[in-house]
Amino acid sequence: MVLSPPTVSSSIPTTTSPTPASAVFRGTVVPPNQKAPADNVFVFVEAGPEFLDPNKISESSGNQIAMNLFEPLLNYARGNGPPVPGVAAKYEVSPDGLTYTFHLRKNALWSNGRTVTAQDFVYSWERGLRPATASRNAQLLWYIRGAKAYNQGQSTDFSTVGVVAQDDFTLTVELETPTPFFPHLVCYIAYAPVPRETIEIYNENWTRPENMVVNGPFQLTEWAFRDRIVMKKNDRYWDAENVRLAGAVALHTENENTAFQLYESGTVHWTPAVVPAEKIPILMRDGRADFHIDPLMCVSYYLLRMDQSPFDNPAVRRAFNMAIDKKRIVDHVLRSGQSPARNLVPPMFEPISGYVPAQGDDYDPERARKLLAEAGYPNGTGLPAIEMVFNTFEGNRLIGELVQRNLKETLGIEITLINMEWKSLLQTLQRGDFHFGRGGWCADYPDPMTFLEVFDSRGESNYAGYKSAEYDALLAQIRKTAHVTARNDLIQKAEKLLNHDVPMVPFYFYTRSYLLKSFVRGFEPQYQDHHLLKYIYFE
Amino acid sequence: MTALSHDPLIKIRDLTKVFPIRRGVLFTTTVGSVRALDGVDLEIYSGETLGLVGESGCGKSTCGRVILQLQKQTSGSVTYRGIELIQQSRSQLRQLRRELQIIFQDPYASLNPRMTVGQIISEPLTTHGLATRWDKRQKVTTLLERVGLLPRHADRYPHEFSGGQRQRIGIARALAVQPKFLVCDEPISALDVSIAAQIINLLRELQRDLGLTYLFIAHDLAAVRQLSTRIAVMYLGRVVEVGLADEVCSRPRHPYTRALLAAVLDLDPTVARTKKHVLLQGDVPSPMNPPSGCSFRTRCPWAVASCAITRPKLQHIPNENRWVACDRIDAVDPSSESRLLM
Amino acid sequence: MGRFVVRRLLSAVLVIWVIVTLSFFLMRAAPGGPFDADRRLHPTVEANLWVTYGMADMIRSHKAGRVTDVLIQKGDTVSSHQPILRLDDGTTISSPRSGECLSILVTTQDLVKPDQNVAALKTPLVQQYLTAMASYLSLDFGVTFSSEGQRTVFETIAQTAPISMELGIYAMLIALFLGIPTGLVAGLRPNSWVDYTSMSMAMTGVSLSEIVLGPMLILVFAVHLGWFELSGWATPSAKILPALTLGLIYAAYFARLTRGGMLDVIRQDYIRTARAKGLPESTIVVRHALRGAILPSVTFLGPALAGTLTGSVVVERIYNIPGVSEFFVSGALNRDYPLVMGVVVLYSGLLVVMNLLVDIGYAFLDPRVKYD
Repeated sequence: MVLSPPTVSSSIPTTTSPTPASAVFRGTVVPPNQKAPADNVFVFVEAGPEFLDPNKISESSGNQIAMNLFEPLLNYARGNGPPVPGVAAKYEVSPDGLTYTFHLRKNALWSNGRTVTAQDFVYSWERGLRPATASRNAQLLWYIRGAKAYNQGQSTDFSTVGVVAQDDFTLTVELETPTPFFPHLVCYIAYAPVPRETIEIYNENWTRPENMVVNGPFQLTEWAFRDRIVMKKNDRYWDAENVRLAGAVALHTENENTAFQLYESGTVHWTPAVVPAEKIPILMRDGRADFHIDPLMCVSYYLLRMDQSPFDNPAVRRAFNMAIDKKRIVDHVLRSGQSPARNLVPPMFEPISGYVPAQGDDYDPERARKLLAEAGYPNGTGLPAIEMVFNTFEGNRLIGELVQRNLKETLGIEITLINMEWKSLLQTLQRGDFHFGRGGWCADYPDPMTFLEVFDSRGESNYAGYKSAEYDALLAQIRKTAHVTARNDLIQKAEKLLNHDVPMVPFYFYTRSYLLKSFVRGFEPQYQDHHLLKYIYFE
Repeated sequence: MTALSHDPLIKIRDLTKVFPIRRGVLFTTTVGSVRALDGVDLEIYSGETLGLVGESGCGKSTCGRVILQLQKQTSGSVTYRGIELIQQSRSQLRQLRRELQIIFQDPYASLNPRMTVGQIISEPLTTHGLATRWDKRQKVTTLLERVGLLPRHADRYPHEFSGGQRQRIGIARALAVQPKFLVCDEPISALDVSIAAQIINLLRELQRDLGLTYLFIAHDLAAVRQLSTRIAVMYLGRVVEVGLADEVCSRPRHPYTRALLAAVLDLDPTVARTKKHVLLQGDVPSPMNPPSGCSFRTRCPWAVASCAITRPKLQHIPNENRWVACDRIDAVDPSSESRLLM
Repeated sequence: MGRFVVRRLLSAVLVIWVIVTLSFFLMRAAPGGPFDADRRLHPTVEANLWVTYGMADMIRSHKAGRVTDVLIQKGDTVSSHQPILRLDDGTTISSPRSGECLSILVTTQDLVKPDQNVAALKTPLVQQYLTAMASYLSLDFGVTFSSEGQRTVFETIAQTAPISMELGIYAMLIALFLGIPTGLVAGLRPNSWVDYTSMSMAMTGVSLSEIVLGPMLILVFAVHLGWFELSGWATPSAKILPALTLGLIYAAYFARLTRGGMLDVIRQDYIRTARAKGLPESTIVVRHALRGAILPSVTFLGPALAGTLTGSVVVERIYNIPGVSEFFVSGALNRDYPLVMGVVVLYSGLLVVMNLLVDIGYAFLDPRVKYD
């Protein structure tokens, strides 16, 4: 997903893992008021989902709750490890990487007592792909053979889709292309099963607490709209003995200061991603042990619209990339452990898949000026008026102004800042009616492809209008390649091409700042901010 | 005309009222003052009508309000039947208000627009315990009829009436408490001539029937003359001449009275206006900064240097029931109208 | 009076209709669509959403073939029977009606089968409008986009509006019981220390706004003193600070209006008349001055009530109150058309009714006002 404006991306807690992820900031001073609650109920703040249907969830706040209510075939690990067993006790992949066979555990139950079967998954995935469901997340299922055509209404026969329940406990899935990250995808809420009998009785009301039937470690007991969501441990969950929380409460808040006060007062144990910006330097200065900054699998960049002058000229694009002192802005303004970016793909894939990102141009004002002069715009003379678009948000304006000043200093170029309301900005980006605009991307699944596919010529979010046959061909090749090293080489080639063509100026890699009470255990930094409550416990 | 008794109903001595003028919003400072009343002496005798005349701003309305203690004087005394009003407590004063009433100039503004006529008239009745819940209606009816209105008018609101009718309501309201003394503060100046005459007649009738004493305030002598037993003329917060109505009007002694009278007597309005301009040169001096000595000297054709030095006191004119505050009274020839017209 | 009320109610219906109509078209004229997101949806997914919410329908092919040419683009306005696809046998597939092309679901070289969706056409606005108005008449505002169709607008508002109304009522009670007496006292003693103190406070209140007052009250009374809860609406103690925040601001307005009204009234001759009647000062204030003095406040009461009963975005956000006001902002920002229509009707309906009540109240306060 891309970076929403001021909205809050989400996460849910996990537990201690043997491999501590590379935290950006860890303090040592434990503040008072850090006593674990006796009732064993974990309280956190959330932006407040409006619906909890796994087949439809696309907003992070809904995901945060629903991922604890519905368990897919595999689960996110605590921390950044590979997926761990969920409803499926184990799975096999065919040598060509195209067929997955999942073996479901026989003791996985719905909260109404019925056994979770392979047919439940077939039903759920069919429901997610049915055009009438109009799921925004359906695209995540398109890796399955025939899923796209079914979702488009080109086929109304679900047997054309590569999902088959061989028996109650065996599910085979055929994919369009080898998809090495498919086990990660399967952890996503869109792949969770849903209870057919409940849905058929209650229709769209099936997710209300009084109706909802779940198969995850927690079940819904109260849903006060826009106020709180209360969950309690699901005793019928197959792994209930390892679930140590008695329950969890998600308090709705869209105000980060309120969230902060609730945390400081001890009401709330975790504020995922809602630490007020002005508090961060104070928390860091105080060395607070309960304040965390973790790296995220997200990148921020500036889009350069490639079919408009002057950015139709590759030299101008490269000059802009080299003229912006990203490190200075990151170190002096953002100051929450972000790292300056010289390429698109965030740096944490090496331990996962061995991929080493290809670095692009560094900050080099000399060369930038030279390139610009060579492109026919010495000291910026002759350049058309350049406008930078961003959505109305104070932080964006501040950064925009710094970039503006930076470009003035290094290239002598005066760019104009234009702020827009969010939907207007989206329309402007979609129409390609801009020169220079703020953009970004967060991983849908832990694989470099999630970033590279943004710049596919036909990619929906390819707002830069990047069109390169060579790049598209590389992507096609990557999709077909199952061999890890060969695939990494292809990915690196694609990244080099991007670094050369510069359809966007990589800016920085994101971090996640949050407060978490010191008595909370089982919570590990996670690059995509997936934190399952089943791992969490108090000490 | 009734004969004057010797004990005045109202006795005013050296009455002074100063209004400070403030500037500033948060921290006000007094930047000056207006002496609306500047040492006024007057007596009002039971059963008479004392006409109080003067140009607007001369303090005549203030005088009426201070008598009723609607405003408190700065210094001096007002006694009613020998009772010093300023020394009375709020509740004592409220009791006295039964006997001292007022009719205001503006019949539009002086009636609460949110109350019916019945409520307006009956409110003082209940306040002073003059009516019970049961005979209230009856008393209101009587009062309305007394002032020439109909009983059914009691349920209407003031805005449904004409100016003359409203003034009748104001009178009924004042009469409700059976007062002894009534201040009529320019009651007819907002009314048409014919309506004004009706009101004058009504007031006269009421005085005759109820034995009321009036202080009748007006800015022109003509209105006052018809009704008054005696007339007092005010100029810049001071009484300059007091005397029997007929005598004051037929033989004015103070130059200012003469000027006022000359303005009124001519029936041709255009002539009257030009004449007045001739008579009264210049504007009324600012009451914030009155002239020294005789305050009329700046506009007086007979003024001499000595007029600027001492303030003339009200002096009794021998053989007349008249007091005049003018040091040059001997020089002012009562018959020499020509001098005035220079 | 009865005729007046009926006439006003009829005109209210007209007013609300105009507002609804304007909102309907303005909302749709705003840039960006309801399903635009930072992650742009695939045309197929987007088309499914538009069709599901009755704002578009699909064009189906009537035969099989391979696409050789796509003759229109997304965003084009097509006319009835205009060819949109050319197949390899030289025939074309045409649009059954006119409309704006929302998305094209096939590309060159794709195989199409009979009855397959090939493109989506937006339903003409006028038709959408007529359909919508028909259901609005039965108070059916449809489902909200933000809940992916899982909550009706009616339910969404019914769950949140009562909370905002409760907050609004408390705030209004505080505002009236604090603001009007303060204004009266200040107006009766102009330029006294009472006047200066209360009016300085009111002026501060008016300029502060909830955005400053709210966090200040939280810091002092919830964080430092710990007397009240920080946020939420669950317990009586949680309701005090938000009600105070909103109430104090309105109290400041009422105090200033009442003071002004009192100053006007107290200078009137009829107040002097009342004094001349020998009435006690308290009677003069209560019976003669009060009704006139509160008239400006009563005028302000209509919009103030409509404003507070629908909650305050700022107060509800600061205190985390699950009220309806958030939807005024989020509905518009998200282009959640059905939700926007719902809150527009709620607010305009309240405004019209409150103003009507105020007008009726006027007739009781001032007999010169006549309705017929």
